[in-house]
Amino acid sequence: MGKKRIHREDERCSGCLSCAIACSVFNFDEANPSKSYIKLKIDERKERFHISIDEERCKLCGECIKACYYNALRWEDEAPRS
Amino acid sequence: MRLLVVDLESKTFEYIMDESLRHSFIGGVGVNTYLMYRFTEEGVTPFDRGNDLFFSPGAFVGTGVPTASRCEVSAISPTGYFGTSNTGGRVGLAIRQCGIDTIWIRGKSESPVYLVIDEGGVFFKDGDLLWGKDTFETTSILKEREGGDTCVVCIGQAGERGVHFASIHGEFYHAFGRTGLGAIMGGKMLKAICLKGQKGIKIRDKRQLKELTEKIRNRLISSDTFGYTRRYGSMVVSDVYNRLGILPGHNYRKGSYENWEETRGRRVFEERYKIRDLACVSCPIGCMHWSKVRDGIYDGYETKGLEVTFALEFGGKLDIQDIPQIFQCVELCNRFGMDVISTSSVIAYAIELFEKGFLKEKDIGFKIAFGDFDSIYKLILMIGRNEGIGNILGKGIRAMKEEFKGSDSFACEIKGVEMPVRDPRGRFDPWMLGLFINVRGGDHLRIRTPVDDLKPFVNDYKYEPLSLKQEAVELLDIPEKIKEAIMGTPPSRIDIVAMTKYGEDYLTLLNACGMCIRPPVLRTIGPSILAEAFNTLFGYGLDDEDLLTISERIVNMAHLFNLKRGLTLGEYRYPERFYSEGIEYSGKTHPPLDRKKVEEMLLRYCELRGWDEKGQVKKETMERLKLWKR
Ligand code: SF4
Ligand code: SF4
Ligand code: SF4
Repeated sequence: MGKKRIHREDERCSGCLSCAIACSVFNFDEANPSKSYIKLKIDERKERFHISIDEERCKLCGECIKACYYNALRWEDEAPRS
Repeated sequence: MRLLVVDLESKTFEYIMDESLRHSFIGGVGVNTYLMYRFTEEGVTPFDRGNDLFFSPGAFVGTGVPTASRCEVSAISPTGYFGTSNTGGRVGLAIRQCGIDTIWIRGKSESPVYLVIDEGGVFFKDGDLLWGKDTFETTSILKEREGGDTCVVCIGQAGERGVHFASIHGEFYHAFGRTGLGAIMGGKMLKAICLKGQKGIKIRDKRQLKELTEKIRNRLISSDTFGYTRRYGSMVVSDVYNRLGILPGHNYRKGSYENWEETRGRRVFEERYKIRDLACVSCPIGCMHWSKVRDGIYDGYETKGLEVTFALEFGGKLDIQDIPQIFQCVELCNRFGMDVISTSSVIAYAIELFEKGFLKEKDIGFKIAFGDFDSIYKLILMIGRNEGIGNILGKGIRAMKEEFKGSDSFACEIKGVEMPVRDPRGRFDPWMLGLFINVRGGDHLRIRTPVDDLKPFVNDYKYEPLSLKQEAVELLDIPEKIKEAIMGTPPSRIDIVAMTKYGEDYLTLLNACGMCIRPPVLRTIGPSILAEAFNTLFGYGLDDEDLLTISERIVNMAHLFNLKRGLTLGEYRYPERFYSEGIEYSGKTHPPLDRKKVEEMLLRYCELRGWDEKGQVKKETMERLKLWKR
């Protein structure tokens, strides 16, 4: 059985950083998007976002997925929500 | 709380720790108000070196509490009164990531300067080469220079040149728009602040915080306003304003337009322009959008928007009928760093002055008219550049009406701040009473209510019918006693004055906490949940009543600040037009406001606030709210 993966869709990302804050609270007891395993690269001028995950360190806890209300994150083996 | 105090004269900085500020003033506007009230010296005028500038994120910002993203900036406004403005986006988070809760800017620099702040302190950098650049250029240059993750807060040329309604911008599109604080920042020769901190906020109890976050999020998404707010953003109300005849058309002379929905309505926006949803930090609502023009001469142009304020101001007040042209006006305001509402208001006033012969073509250099994009665009350019007539417009309506004697009736400002977005005559509710009562003057964002609604009713100056569905009423978070007093048992109608007072305390509280004020929040999040969040994060045992008392304290401090600076109840009024002319819409007319009844409402508001009939804060109120000293 392969490792679970988190599927990311930059096009749906709103830039809210809820995933990164949730990840850092879960892992470090501090709200800090600079420290989280999921990160956003933000182009502010165009309001575009690129989501990346440090897969080496990620605990696959799913907190980021639960925090995302824009359907930009899901387990790879689950169907996309609309 | 940890305050960073920056002195622009000695180019030094220090940190002050004061934990008592948190439970006495919460954060955001609360802390700013206290610091201004306590430390502004007597007689300081807006452009004096003693007019300090404060940036404070709300108390919950950066912790993941849903919608807690908002940050407040405050100082004496160019109007001479309490100036304060709020924005979302990432600025508040970026300040907290520098390990601080407030940036307190003192003094004036002798030459242009910008600050780089991180968790270690402040660097003062030469701003000469940035001076004269617009906000987009400044932000791009500083991101290039300081690193792409830097959050940039800056002013444009309007702030440098002292335009009275200059704004401060965070990250291109998030404006601290109202009350002209960009001009105050410009007067200090402070071009920009770069925020580079990467510090986190320690969480006391992550399990409790998670439960709370989920509870707040579930409430937000269960509100019947959630879906629409995500889908249309603030544009959700665009069509209703037109149907109700409460648009501010042609400087408050046209309450509706026949072609409004096809040109500036919410469906046109959604179907032709909107492409993606955007959100501020920690927000599940996502009321903001990215838009693209797909045809015509602006084909391919992309921007953030459309906010309904832009549609109501450039589209409604000035009658520009084409959304891409509205986008152009907004971008120009954003680049110069000027408040959209005040810019379009001074132009509306100028056009009416021109129509009535107060202003001549030779004074301007060209003809100006409602609906004429070219002349309106040129006027925005002239204001931003302080050129020709733009010099006069840039001083704001209150100063302009001194030059054009006899135009008071249609000079639409209150306490020196230009009136925004909607006409009070068609629906006189707490929102509209609040428009002249709130501390900022002509403004619609400081007094709102949990039951904000736009169903038509006939003004009676006492009650507004309660038309929310039963499920929505059940979701309201208002202390039971207050709910009964305002809405009756069972809740059936709204006591307008009592709700105005509550709405002001409530919004002040949301703001101090850093929460948003979009409808899903108003309908579901109130003092009791905010108290839960406050205690979860900070460990104090405060309850809903304690928080509302703090709010009252903040409102009263800002009011005392204004009284000291010469404000009287005489300025709590609409311009004459609203009491003497009706407003036409769809072939009908809303009658003028009943002046006497409005004045009675104001007196009752004073009574509920614990002020005397002149608006002075009574001794017992001072004592109850511990306003003598901290
Ligand atoms: S799944 Fe990985 S990235 Fe997501 S919150 Fe957990 S640790 Fe962070
Ligand atoms: S929570 Fe979702 S929408 Fe928000 S930043 Fe993360 S991926 Fe993007
Ligand atoms: S509702 Fe809109 S303005 Fe408010 S925090 Fe969310 S995205 Fe920002």
